[in-house]
Amino acid sequence: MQNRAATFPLHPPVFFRMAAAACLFCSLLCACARGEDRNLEYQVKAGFLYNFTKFVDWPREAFASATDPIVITIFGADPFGQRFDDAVKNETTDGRKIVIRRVRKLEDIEPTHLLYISNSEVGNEAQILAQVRRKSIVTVGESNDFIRNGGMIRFVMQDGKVRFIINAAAERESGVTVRSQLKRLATAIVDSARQK
Amino acid sequence: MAFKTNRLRQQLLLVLLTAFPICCLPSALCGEATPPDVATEKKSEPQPNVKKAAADQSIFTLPIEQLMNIQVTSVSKAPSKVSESPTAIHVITQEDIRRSGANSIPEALRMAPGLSVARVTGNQWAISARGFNFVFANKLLVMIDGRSVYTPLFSGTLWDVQDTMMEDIDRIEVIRGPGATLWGSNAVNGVINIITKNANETQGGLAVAGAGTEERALGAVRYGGKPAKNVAIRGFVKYFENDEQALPGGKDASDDWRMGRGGFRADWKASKDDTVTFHGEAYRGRVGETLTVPSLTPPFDRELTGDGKVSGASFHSRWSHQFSEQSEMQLGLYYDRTDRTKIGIAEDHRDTVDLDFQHHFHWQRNNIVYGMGYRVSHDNTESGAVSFDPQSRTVHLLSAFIQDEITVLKDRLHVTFGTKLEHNEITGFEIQPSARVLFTPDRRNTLWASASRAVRTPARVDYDARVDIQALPPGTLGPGTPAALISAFSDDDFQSETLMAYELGFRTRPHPRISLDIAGFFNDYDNIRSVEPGGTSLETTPAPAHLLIRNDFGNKRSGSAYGGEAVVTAQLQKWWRIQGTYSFLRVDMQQGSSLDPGANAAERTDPRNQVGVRSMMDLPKKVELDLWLRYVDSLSGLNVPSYFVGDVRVGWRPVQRLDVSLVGRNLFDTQHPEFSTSFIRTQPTEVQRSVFLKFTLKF
Repeated sequence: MQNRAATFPLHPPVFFRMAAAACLFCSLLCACARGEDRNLEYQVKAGFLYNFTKFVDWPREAFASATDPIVITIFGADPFGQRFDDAVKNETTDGRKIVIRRVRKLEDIEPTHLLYISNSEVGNEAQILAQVRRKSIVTVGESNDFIRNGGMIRFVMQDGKVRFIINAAAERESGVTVRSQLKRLATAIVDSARQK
Repeated sequence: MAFKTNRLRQQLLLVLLTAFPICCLPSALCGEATPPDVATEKKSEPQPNVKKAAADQSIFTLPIEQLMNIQVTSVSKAPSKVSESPTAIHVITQEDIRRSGANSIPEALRMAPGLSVARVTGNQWAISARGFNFVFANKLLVMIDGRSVYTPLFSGTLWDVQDTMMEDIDRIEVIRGPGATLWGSNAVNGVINIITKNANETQGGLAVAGAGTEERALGAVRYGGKPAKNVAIRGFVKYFENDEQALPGGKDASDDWRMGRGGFRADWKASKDDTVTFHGEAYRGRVGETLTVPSLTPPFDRELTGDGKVSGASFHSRWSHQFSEQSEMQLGLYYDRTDRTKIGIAEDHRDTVDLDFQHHFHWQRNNIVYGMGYRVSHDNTESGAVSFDPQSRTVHLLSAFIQDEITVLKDRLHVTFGTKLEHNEITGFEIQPSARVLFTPDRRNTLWASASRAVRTPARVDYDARVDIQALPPGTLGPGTPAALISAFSDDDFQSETLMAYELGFRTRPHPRISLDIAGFFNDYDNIRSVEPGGTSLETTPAPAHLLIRNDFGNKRSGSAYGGEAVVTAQLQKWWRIQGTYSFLRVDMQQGSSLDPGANAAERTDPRNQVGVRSMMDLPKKVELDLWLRYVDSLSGLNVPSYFVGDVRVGWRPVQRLDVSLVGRNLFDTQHPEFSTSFIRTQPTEVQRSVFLKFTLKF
């Protein structure tokens, strides 16, 4: 027993050198790593986008044919990455394939069935939403003013989990039908007509 | 002098390890912007709470109900299972496995801190957690999808037959320290849990083909489909051939390894609340080895070379039912068959059936899980240098456990109490309690402590066996004496080896991209197996008459071990992740009343210091560059010098469906030994430098 107490795991000089190296290492790491990794959050949000297509009924005119794909358009900086495409590549909703597009210009928005407006476009949000008004397009966004600007589904964070709010007025206006199952999962359903 | 060179080596290593990140830093500091070509994004930390989603792509297509339950608030705050677990747990993800270039489970385990992983021959590994490593290491429980794969013959794991489609592994959870309360006996020093992906996550085809200088050939095909609504299945076949390792002089040994394997998994969502899983696997292979067995006629110590034959199959079914969000149960049943013929040693044919039930529910502040299990294992052995009496035996094991996690302060303080009660026919009832405290002052820091008792119940080799170790030619013991045989006899009254373990751990995330996990332990062992010298007598069978130098198994050793492990993971850039591990271990055995001359051997069969650094970079043009450096201290008890090795992997994805990777292993030396053997004198061989090229195609 005494023996154990007496022997320090490492020779002091080596230990100190190790400790010093470790401190240096850690502080340098802290110095150089920046930004927050929000990857998981956006993987989950991408998952929601894909799932939304299953709970929304578009009018028949929204598709050219019965096998036409459902188009998800990401407007602005893409937070999801290529893996989103890979993941939904082989998935279908009601026999329709899912196609993902990425655009940065207003005129490129269509054709689309679901439009996600990235946080990078907060400043242009009202303009973008106005562009797709009364069209059979489900709009999804995240900004505080998204619903007020006439958006349909807004992501919100609750206890660290991704939830969403549905704007019934926008749904009525667009002509798409959000199924009741999805409405039941929503944190809130608001009825907010566009302001202005 | 030897001491001096050791010191020097140690210091050199430190310089190297410190220099590595520093050299890398300038690029990290300047390269704030992500190269535009890099499309893939990496999670900065395994997220086991997103269980099924750990496989990157699967999150996207999870059902909405599951998505709603995923904690996502930046990784640092996510109270994922691992960061809130009051145990020293490390998770090896599929991504880790892929980027390490490991083609077998034991090689992948080298990534975990606190484990000693040593390749003894081309097809044998000695693997243990926190000490007591040897080829027949017996204090580590290993499970594949909940199926225990340790053999009751010596309560250890035969690594040459533990394999599956590597690409279908979801994650490997490595728990250092006792896990006995939940998992039961044998989970003394650690538990390894290998978990394969749900069949829903392995849809479509995958073909793997590879060739290399040591891993000569590897081919595997997996295909997954959905034959009916709510049913997903996959099936795979795999074959590999590994070359011999080298003898100390550089000549080829005869320890090649060939194995064919096939298996399936089906996941059926029978109803909203019920899921049923079936999986099965079968394998057959040959494992070469050279070993020395005693013989009473000249040349007395006989060297045998040849192929051992191994085969087996298992079938596993599991049913989960969810009563409510607060309550679920699981019922599992499996059958496992193994056949093993080792040249000159013994032959073992074993059938195991295991039934287990567990129920998990919340009640007020309590999170309770309890369960019970029954396992019956029947074997039939054929004698060689190791003989069992009786040749065939059926072992029954009954167990029950209960564990309650109590929330003392919501999101801050949890205490967990639990115990396992087990009954076996040799030592009767065994009780294995544990108490754990988990303190999370905020979402970034976790502090935990535990005290637990664990036992290793006797294996057949402890109470049914005779091991012939060495034969001495006539005259060795004095003029005119006949030949002599040194043998060890097991003990009918063998007791369980016991452990009292005290652990302390700390996890922190000083920055969203950096996590640090530190654990320390003090283990107090008692009743550890000793080999006591017995008397010398004349034995007439087997003929010719000879002197028998007897040794008897006892429980007279005791001792302690202490040490700790640290893991730093840093996502330096979106495209660059590094992980460093350090493990320290010291074992002190006490002679006590034991006369075993090797009583202290366990002190020196594990590396005292181990260091690992892995760097994983996503470069432009869909190229991945991964480096892995390892330092493993010397094993003075086995005359194995320390070694420092480096692996490099270059991966390239020319098109979406195809992955090409080139792996160079053990690049710093032509060959080095990692372990040695005793008792069963298999000739240890040395690990060689190697290169391996692999193609992975999705279709």
